Amino acid sequence: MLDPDTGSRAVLSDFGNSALGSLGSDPVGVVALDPLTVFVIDQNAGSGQLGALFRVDPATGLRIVLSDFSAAAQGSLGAQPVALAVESFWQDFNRR
Amino acid sequence: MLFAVSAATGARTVLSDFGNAASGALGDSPIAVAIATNGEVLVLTDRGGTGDRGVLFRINATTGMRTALSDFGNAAQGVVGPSTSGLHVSAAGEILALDSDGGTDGRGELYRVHPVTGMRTVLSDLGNAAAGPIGVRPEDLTMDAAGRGLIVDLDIGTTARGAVSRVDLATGARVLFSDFGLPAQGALGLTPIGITVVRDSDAIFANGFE
Repeated sequence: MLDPDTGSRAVLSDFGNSALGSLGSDPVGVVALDPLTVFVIDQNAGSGQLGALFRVDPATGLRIVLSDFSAAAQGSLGAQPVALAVESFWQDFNRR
Repeated sequence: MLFAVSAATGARTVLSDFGNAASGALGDSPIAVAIATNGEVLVLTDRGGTGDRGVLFRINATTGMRTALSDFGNAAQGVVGPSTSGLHVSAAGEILALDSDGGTDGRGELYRVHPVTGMRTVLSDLGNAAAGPIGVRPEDLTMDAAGRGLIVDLDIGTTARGAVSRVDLATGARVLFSDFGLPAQGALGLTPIGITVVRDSDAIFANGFE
């Protein structure tokens, strides 16, 4: 996490630390919907290394795998997802 | 492939298959995605289009139908870009796109893309040292609460560990904002590749491979 004024950094979640949740491999994209909801896409994480979408708690750094792109039970398989966006972003924004 | 993922369950559905011509112009190597203020999905591809230089698509969020908005190989739409990489839409609907190999000496270039015509305008040439630190591998961008661009570069900064540059979008001037090789600014980073700004708190998140 970067301070918006100074650029100083603090580690929010170490994807190599299993105490914080499922391990990551190559996190390549991040979107923060609000201060409480951060999503990270990893192109090689997940049960079959086909990629995974993580939800990260910014307060604790704890991670959960929201969508495992190797898991057919969650839908079509993926292969190295590289980017993400949140569809409701502007809908929520415009309601404010 | 563009997936829609349920934020509640993680279930995935294919929204748009870039290899399916029935959904519109074909795409190749989608690399960035953003949501336009009208609800459309914007996807930037690294390949495809004229000269295989990449295309910015508008995609209907319900049907998945694609329309090419800006062909980065089409000089009639502005400066030709060799390798697209990042995409951002501002609250005002402004579309910013990044080309990691464009500009002077292929150091990268930041564009504004007109949301209707797809015309590209250069905002900052990352190879122009007179405008600030030059780029090496710029990969992603966002905009801060003050309307300044933030560009994350994998290989600039102290010992080439990566950094975030801040860009004045009116002048193109850049300053090094967070140097991931500089301990005085906090924990060291390495090859940061993604960046986002939290809408309500202005906090900035960046992530990287290591």
